Amino acid sequence: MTELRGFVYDGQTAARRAVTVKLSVPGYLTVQGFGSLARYPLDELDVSPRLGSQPAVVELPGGGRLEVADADAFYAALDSSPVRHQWQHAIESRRGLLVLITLLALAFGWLVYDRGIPAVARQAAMAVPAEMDQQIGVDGLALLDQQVFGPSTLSADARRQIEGAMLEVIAVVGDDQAYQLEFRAGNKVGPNAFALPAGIVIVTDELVALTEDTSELQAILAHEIGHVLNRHALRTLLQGSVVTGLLAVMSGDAAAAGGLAAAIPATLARAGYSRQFEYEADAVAKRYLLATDTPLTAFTAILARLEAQGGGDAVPGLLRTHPVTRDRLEQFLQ
Amino acid sequence: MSEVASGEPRREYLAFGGSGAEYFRIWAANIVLTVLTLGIYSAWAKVRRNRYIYGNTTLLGGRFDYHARPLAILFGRAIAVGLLLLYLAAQAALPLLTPLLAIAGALVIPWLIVRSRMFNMRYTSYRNIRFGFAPAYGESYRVFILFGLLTVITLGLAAPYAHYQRNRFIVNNTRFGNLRFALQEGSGSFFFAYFATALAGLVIVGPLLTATSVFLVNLQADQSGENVALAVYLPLVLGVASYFVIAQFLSAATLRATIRAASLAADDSAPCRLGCDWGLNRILFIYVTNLFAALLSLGLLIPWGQMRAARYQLSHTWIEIRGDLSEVVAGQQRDVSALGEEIGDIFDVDIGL
Repeated sequence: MTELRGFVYDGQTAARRAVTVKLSVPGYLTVQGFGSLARYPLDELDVSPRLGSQPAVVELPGGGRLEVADADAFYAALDSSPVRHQWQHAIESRRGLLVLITLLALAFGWLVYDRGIPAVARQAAMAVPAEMDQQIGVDGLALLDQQVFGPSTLSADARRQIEGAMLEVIAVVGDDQAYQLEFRAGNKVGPNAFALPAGIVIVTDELVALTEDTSELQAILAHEIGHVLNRHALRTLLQGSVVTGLLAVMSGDAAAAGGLAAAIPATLARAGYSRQFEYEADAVAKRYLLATDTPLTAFTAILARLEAQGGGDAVPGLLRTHPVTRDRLEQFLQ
Repeated sequence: MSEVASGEPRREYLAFGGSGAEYFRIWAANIVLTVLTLGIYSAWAKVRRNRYIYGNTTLLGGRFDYHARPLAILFGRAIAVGLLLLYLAAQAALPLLTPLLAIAGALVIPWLIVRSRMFNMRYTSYRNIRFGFAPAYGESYRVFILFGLLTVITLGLAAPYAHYQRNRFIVNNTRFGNLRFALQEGSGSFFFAYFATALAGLVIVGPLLTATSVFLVNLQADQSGENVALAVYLPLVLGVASYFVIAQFLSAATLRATIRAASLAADDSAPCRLGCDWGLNRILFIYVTNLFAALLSLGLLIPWGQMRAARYQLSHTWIEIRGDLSEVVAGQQRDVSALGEEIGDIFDVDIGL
């Protein structure tokens, strides 16, 4: 190494002192200037990683700081293995490598979204104790009662009949989970059905009014039981948390994870997961209909009527929590 | 110290040497490596980004620098994300407790803001002299919670005043070596900054949304499925984008008001003023054109836009200097490290809010 020119800031005052720097003895860095000569063992020096075209920066023992403008020469002379100080710079400065790892990252990101997060959430959902599941379901219902639902106006007879229909469905597609059927006035959510943790299934009066016969209602109930069987409500919560947590780590900003920038990818991811769950629940409805020799039109007819009620697909595909009905029917009839 | 105080003050401008092309590679590597490591690299990414921006900022030939250790940042982030997940889990498991959780969050946030500022100032230097931040926590609650409530009560009318109080708290507790920053009295310029932002919002958002709706009306004529999707996405994207521009503009306008009211002084000397001559029209022009460049390039021109904005703002910012800068002494340095030992590295939480 020839002599390189640099500056030393001692950390005590803002003064700048010109020095010359060289690696005269192997393993040692010599800094000469302002009437003094110092020799530092390289192991004791804290060399900042190389960054763009910036000067090399070395933290000297005792709080001083050395800047060497000719970073190329300095880093080359410093290390026989440049990996320690230059691996980030190596990636940043090689176009081909940067493109390659970008492609890798795209594939990896998709894999995490499509497989990784759902798998983690599924495992976590299975690990949630039954009492907690119960609590989440009961609290969720209380919250919905407070914010959305009104009391049902169905007669006791009508309720008994629907409960009987539910038992038939459970006998075919249900598991050992205890189910709890709830009737509510849907108000602003209109004709709809919901599945909460703890096996709570809610049907709205408006939905009951919209169905033309029991088999249609049973198809819907089978769909909701499909959500319960697959623990979708809990998995939705968990996947949402994992997405938020990951975005928080990635943006490096816990506050930003609740902010607008992170809300967009988080919303898209959640909607994507939700659509996936609808397809899974539809498959259970189909299984029920096939097992009981009921025509598949029991499900497709009520779905079409719900669609007509909802006023069509106002929200485009990526933002929907439910798949576009056309896609859903296609998948269902396959 | 008397040398600093003596002599006629002269204005020295900052300079910025960062280039869009060079920063693009650092920015791209940061994003890609962050994805590949599920976020772990974000701590290294932050150090890299800050070192690039600070290191390219110079005053009188001396560079600024950012010294934080990625591992310390990573550790702080792990704690922060753990807290966040705990909060989300509690919210999901006990939805009826949400208001209580929100109150707990509000009590933690001022503490986090102070810690974050402490951490970042401690690891920022110019000419190897460190910056520092050492406020009283009680004051942080007064500033963030009391004035936050005042803003809510006055339906936002007191927002500029609350913003002024926050910045005053931050500036007055910041030092550089043995010099202290101070923000002069008077929140009038903050009211102006908010007024200018409201005006800019009407000037950008109005035309942007009008132009969009005209465009969409034309699309209605040919209503295939794709266009219906576009009709929903486009206003959404433009709405979000205008929100970002307005938020950026507000922070630039209030930063301008802050810099113009700030000064730097040793205990026994006359203060040196800070100032800037950014034009708000120019800032708005830069942000709007940056936005369109970013949208049309699918984000690839974001780093170019950032460097462009930084160059304009930094190179139009100045500080008055009397005598020789080398007279600035890092007199407080011992206290800073003592503080660090007392609190321990574990609390070096870095959370940008």
